[in-house]
Amino acid sequence: MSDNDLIIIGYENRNVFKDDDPFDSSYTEKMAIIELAEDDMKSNDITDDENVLVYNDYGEVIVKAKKIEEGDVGIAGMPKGPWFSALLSDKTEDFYRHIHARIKKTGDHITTIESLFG
Amino acid sequence: MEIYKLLPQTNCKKCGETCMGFAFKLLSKDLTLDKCTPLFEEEEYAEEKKELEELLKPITEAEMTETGLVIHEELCFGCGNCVVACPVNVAEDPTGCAIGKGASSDKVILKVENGKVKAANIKTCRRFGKYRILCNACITPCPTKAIEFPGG
Amino acid sequence: MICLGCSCLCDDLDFKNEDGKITVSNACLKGFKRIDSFNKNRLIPSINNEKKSIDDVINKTIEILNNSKKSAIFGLESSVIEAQNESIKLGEKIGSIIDNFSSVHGGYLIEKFLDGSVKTCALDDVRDNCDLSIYWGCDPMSTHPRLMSKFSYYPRGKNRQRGWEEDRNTISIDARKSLTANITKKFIKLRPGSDFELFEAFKDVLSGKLPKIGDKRLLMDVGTSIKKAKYGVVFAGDGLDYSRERVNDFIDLINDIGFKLQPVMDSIGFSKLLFDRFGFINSINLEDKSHSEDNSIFNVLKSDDIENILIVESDIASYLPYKIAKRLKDINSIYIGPHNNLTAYLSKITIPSSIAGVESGGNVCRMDLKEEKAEKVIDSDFLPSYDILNKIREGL
Ligand code: SF4
Ligand code: SF4
Ligand code: SF4
Ligand code: SF4
Repeated sequence: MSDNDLIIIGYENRNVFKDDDPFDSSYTEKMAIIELAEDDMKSNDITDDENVLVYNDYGEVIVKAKKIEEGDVGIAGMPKGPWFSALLSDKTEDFYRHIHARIKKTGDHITTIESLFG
Repeated sequence: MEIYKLLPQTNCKKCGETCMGFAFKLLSKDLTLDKCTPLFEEEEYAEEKKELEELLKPITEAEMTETGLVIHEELCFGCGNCVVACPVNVAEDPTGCAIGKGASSDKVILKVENGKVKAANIKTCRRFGKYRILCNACITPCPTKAIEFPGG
Repeated sequence: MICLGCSCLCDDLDFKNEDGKITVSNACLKGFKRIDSFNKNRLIPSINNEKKSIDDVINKTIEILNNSKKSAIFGLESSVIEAQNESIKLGEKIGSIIDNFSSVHGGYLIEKFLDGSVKTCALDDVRDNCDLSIYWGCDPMSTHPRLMSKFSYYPRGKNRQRGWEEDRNTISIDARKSLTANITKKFIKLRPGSDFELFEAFKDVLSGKLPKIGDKRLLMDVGTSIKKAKYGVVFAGDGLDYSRERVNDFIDLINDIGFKLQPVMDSIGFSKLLFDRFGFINSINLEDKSHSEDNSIFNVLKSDDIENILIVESDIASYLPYKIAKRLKDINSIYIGPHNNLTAYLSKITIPSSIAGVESGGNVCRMDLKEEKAEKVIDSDFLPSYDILNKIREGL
């Protein structure tokens, strides 16, 4: 993989609850995000709340970029959930490795669950 | 000062204060904006009224108590760290808060209800009264910085 | 009232219901939302997205199971023990595979926790004695919000009377600054996937050598705390997934420093039940009681011969690679649970159940294996999942 790959760490989002309706817009707001370090945002010409395409060999999604305090360059975070799962490998060996992906600024809308899983 | 500038500045005293005095009481939450009746009754102040309401929003929305304790409800997720760490809670509720459980006494300051922390008995807070100290025991354990004493 | 929101199973909740307006004291937001969700986002009985009666969906499930050669049961990690037992009975009757969340995340740790490889502890003892807790690859503040306030950090314990400032030390080890890392006294930030190097570094520090990686002073400091600790506990989470092949080294390290292990995971209870019955915690073929990685949901959904899967109270689709999760649409997938979620959305048949511990009672198992009894606090027409599973089995 190339140099401007990001490692994406999946985490449990404390604002998302098991009983949440996945088709509610607030769910998308909480889940369809990628947290980036300030420098990674700059080098990809992305500002807070802009949509970005996140893609790798396994899939791609459009999510919203969020700046993270004390973030490390090259390391991003995404809440575990439908959008994050689009970047996961279906091979066991790779599923348990850190996820690499690239990002690109986009004017397109956030990927919907229906289009991902439909 | 910004607040003062937006008030009618007529010193009509309908609020029981001068405009300047009223501005301070707004800040300290002793009086609320609706006590300035001209602001609400007279058309010409409509613009100022709106701006004032915007300006005062953070003060009125966050639950500010007499010790200056502010709880940002949108950040709090009810973990109870502050409830268990507060020395007054510990002293007042030895079989509840002190050993990690939820509040079981009415005398505690901090208590979680419907997933968010609520403050009561604020006069017993260590930051209050004659022998006050700069207690931080509820601020440090909060992972989301939901508790604050903006006054210092 | 007991909260089933996570495997902390907090037992100090106060519940009031005044004309449908509920007030819950002491539960964290996660727990409160779960209780408050009794009239929100409820699952509707359906077949191929068409609304049906509850009897229709149960009968259709029976029909599918009667005609299927290879089936699987998945989930139940956050269900009551009654439902877990029913699922085993059903699985034995149809000779299905039974699996749960631990095959996807954390199983390698839960196995060690259960098989005696490492010392474990009761959470009440942690509260009374623990003077150093380490949170490795886990973020209890996000996943188990009251773990630290009830047990491991903030409470006064019998032998920890001076409180968290003086009596307890806490260290967080993670690749990102989590909520937990915000409040622990020390935080070791790891390069993703370098947990193993840290095992080595700790070994060096503890044997008096300089560590080869990381912030040397911080590591020496932590090393000293570890040596001084009288009652140390390592709380571990699925952040260790990337080092799962090295789990033995991790366990060795915990044993070397004389600490106890507590995985911070919800699937411990059901794993224990399966372990006691069959000797394995997941991926079991109930026909011959054998275990194989091929029986994990990950591989089951990838295989061609699976005909149906019954998923109970687990939104596993949100955690699987989407290509695998989408397979649920190609087979006869049945989802039983109280709320709509991605797994229900992808399933052919949905069967609504009551919210356990809110609309129905049952026994539950805390992360440290302590059992609690949950009561029902709200009346409802929804059937508990164990009744649904029982009806299906009886109908076969
Ligand atoms: S009522 Fe309004 S205008 Fe009159 S003195 Fe008070 S603040 Fe000033
Ligand atoms: S400042 Fe101290 S006494 Fe007052 S509420 Fe916070 S912890 Fe309790
Ligand atoms: S510590 Fe913070 S998040 Fe936790 S209950 Fe107190 S205010 Fe809320
Ligand atoms: S920590 Fe877990 S069990 Fe305790 S109140 Fe919160 S969700 Fe419920």
